Amino acid sequence: MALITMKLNSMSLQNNRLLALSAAALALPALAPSAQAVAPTETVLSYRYSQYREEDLDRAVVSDINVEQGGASTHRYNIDVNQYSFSTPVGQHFAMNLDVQDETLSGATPWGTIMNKNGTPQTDDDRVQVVMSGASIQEHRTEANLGGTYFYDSGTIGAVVGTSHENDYHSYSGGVSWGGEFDQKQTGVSVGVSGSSDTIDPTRQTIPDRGGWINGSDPFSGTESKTSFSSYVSASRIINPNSIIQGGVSYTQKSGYLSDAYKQNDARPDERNQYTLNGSYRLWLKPIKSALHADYRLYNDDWGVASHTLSMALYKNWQKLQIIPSVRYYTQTQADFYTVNVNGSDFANLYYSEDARLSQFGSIATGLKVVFKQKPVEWMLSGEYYTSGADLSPGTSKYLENPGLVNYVKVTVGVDHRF
Amino acid sequence: MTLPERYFGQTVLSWRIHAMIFLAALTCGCTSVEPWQRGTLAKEQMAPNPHPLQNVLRTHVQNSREAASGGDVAAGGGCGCY
Repeated sequence: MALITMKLNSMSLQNNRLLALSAAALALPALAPSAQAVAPTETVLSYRYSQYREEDLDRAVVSDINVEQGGASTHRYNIDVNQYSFSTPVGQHFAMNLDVQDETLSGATPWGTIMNKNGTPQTDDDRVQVVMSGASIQEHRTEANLGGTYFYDSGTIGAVVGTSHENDYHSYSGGVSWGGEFDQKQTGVSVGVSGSSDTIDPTRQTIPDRGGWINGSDPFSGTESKTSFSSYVSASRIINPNSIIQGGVSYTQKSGYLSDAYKQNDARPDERNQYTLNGSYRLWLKPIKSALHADYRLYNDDWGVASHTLSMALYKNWQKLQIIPSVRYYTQTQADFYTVNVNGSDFANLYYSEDARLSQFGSIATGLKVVFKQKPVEWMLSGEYYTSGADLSPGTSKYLENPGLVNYVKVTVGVDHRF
Repeated sequence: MTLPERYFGQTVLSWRIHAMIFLAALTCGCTSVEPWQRGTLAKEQMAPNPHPLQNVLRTHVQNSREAASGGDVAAGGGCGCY
């Protein structure tokens, strides 16, 4: 009897994995379905505190063109994040969760880039420079997401609504998802759609308008807005008793005001179509009793950006400890309208941007996480170092690297309580 | 719907073909795994996303710093204009 009970428990847990793999790995912005074939029986209260610190810039790559206006800071962003999560079963077939995230942001942001000297940079003394704001920006963001999931014999139906607020930015979102199991629960399929509506009312008093460093008049006549719509389909499959694979596709369409209001020279198309192709693999490594996680994403959009992302992690349990080293490599091409130094001829174009995030670059993130499990409480501590640069993407010139790219450290401590 | 077929300056196979290859790989080459053989797959370490709360923040930060997004855990809202 005990053996049968163990097998049934194992089946239920495995079904959780199967559906969750097909759904969570392709969850959409504002849509985080916790697809599980069996409703949870525990209430979980979680808290995380994170410090995000971007490395200061080298003074040599910061332009002094706007020093008199209080700019030219070498400091970048610091963010302190508090995350609260509460999930609980409601009856036998329902579960609800509430996630709240509260951020305090401060620091300086890049306004744009300029050439140090005329011509194409070819030496270390002739690199691109970044025009920075002053280090006086203060922001506060609060986000809340409320989700519910209905569990039935061979699948789940989920819904979530969310909202995010900053002093200049407001976002409302919602989504629905479905997950089902087939073929003796060896195959899971998930689909979902979500949408969001955002508004921005930029505080432009100290932000330069196009063509000038300080513009006394606000170039915006009022609030700008954008909407997004996303959809995905994914499927997961048990390969053998030690591995499971998942794949899926997603499509996102954004429309409206997609420029960055806090950049000097930034005019982007008012529509963006984004596509992703995902693959995930989970493999149990018997000799070291660890789980290998491998995830890959191929991304493409109609702004000309294409990207590869490969992530690997190893989950090793040792007595009450869980140790998780991880590494992630990311590379992207530049947007069609990106240029390192917008000048007079570029203004004749419809679209242009000096945003480092639209340049060609690569990044490597390495992390280590340690979890200590002492039922009913779990403590966790993690750190991550992220470095980015043009030289991490094949075929780019380091002299044309946008200094606005970031390196950062993120440290998180947290606790989960189950009851 | 017309999908871009260029990355890194090269013409590549259609996205539709990539998708079909991925999905086909899910349904072939697999052995039948009985329910009582799924104990390893049920381990917490084998979960697709064992620490969702932390991954939400990580994805939010990455989406604010990179041009690509989507196909991952929920990233949350916000401007990400820093």
